[in-house]
Amino acid sequence: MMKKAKIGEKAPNFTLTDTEGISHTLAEALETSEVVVLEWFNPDCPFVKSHHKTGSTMRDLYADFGERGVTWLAINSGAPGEQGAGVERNRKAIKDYHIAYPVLLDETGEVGHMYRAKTTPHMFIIAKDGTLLYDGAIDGRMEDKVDTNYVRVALEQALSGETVTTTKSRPYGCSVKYAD
Amino acid sequence: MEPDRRSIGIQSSRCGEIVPRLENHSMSFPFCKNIVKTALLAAGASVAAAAHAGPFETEEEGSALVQPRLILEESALTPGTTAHLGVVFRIEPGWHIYWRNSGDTGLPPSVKLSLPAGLTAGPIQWPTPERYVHSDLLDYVYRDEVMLIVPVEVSSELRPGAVTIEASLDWLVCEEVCLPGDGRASLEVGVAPAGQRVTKNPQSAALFAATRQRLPRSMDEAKRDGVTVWWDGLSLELRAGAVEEVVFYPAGPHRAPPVEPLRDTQAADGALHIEYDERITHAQLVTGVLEVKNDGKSRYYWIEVKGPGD
Repeated sequence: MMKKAKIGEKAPNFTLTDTEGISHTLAEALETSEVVVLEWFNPDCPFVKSHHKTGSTMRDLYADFGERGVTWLAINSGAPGEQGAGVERNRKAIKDYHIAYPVLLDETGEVGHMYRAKTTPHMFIIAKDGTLLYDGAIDGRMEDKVDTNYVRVALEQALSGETVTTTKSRPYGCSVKYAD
Repeated sequence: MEPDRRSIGIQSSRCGEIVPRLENHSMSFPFCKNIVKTALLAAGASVAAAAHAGPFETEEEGSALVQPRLILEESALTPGTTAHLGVVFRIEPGWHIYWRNSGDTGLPPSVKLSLPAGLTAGPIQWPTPERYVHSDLLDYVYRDEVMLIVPVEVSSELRPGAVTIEASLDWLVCEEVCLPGDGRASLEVGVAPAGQRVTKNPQSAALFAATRQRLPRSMDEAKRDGVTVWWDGLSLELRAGAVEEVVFYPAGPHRAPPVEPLRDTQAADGALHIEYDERITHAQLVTGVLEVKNDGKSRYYWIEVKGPGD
C-alpha cells in the first residue's frame, strides 16, 4: 500500500519531470526552501482557468511568496490523452497563463494518488522538515468563505514560525484526470 | 430596472379565468378582449437562491448543453397564498449538473430570481440527486431533467393582472470534462383576484408530482417510519431496519464533509455509520438526506442534528 499524505506527518517524497525535461525531487526542494507548495493543475479545467486566466490568484501568491523561500510546484496528474495533459499543452499554458514556476507531469498518477489529490486545483503545503501543513482548497469558496485564501494565510503562518490554524479545507474543482 | 407604473385596467367583468399556456420562455393568455394587459415589471426582490455563483468565464458550449425554463404549479397566482415556481433544467444526455452539495468535484447551479413587487421567494427545494462515482470520487448530480421548486408567497395586496418572473441561471455542466454555462428564463403569469379558488396547472402537474417524490420528508416522519438517528459529535449513525439499501447524501456543513463518503454513505444492511473529522466541531448543524430503499421503492428523509459548535 502506497504511503498516503496526512496532516502533521511527513509528506511523501517524489521525483517528477517538468515540461522542460528538468527533474524535481521534493526532498531536494525542501533543502533549499522554507516551504514547498504543490498545486494540482489542469490548464483546461474551468476552475483552474478562473485562477490563472480570468483571475491571477496563483500568480499573485507566487509573486508575494516566491522571494520568501517558497518553492511552488504545479503538478498535472492527467493521463496521456486526457483533458489538459501532455508536455505541449502544459508548455503552452505556462506561456498563456504567465506561470513562473515549473509544471511537473505525473502521467501515471502515482504522485496524485499518494497525496489523494482530488481536484484541480488542490493545494498542499509542506514545511521544511517535510511535515504536511495544509491539504485543501485555494480558498473557502465551497465553504461560503470565498474571500478567505487559505494558502495565503497558511504561508504567512508557516513563514512566521506560527502554527498553521486551518490545516484542511474542502478542495473544489474538476476531477483530476487520472489514468483509469 | 425602474418599475413600470402604468395601471392595469380591467374594463370588462366578462373575463373567465386566466389560464396560462406554458411554453419555454413565453406564455400567452386567452384574453378577455377588454383587458388592458400591463406587465408590471417592478425590479422586485431578487433572490440569489443557491450558495455558489461560479467564478468562471461562461463558455458557449456549456450554455448550449442546458436549457432552463420556468413553470408554475398553479394556474395563476392567488393573493394571500403560496405558489410554487419550478426552475427546470433540461440537460443534454450524457452530461450532468450538480446538487446543492456537488460532492468531491463540480459546483451547484445558481438561480437568481427577479420577482415583481408582491412576490417573495422562499428557499429552494432540491430533489434528491443521483450518486456519480468516478475514480475514487463521489459527486451528487442531476441528469436529463431536473426541477428545483421555489415556494413563492403572493401578497394579499397584489392586484389582478399579469406579472413576469425572470431568472438568471449559472451552472457547471460536466461529462468527462466540465463546462460553465449560463442562461435566462422568464415566465408571464396571471394574478387571479383575491379569494379565487387556487387550481393546479395541468401541464406542470406531472413534473411537480415526480419532483415532489424526490423531496425529503421530515425527520419526524423518518422516526415514525422506524429510522433511528444517533450522533455523538463526530460520527452519525442512521438505522432503518431490515431494508434493501440506505444511502446518505450529506448536505452540510460545507466545510466539514464526511471523511470517507464512498465507504460510509451507502449500505445494503439498513445501517450507516458516517465519520466526520475535527472540522465538525465548528458546526451548528449536520444535515443531509437519507434514502431508504425497500421493495424497489425509495423514500427520502431530511436528517438534521445539532453539531457541537455555536
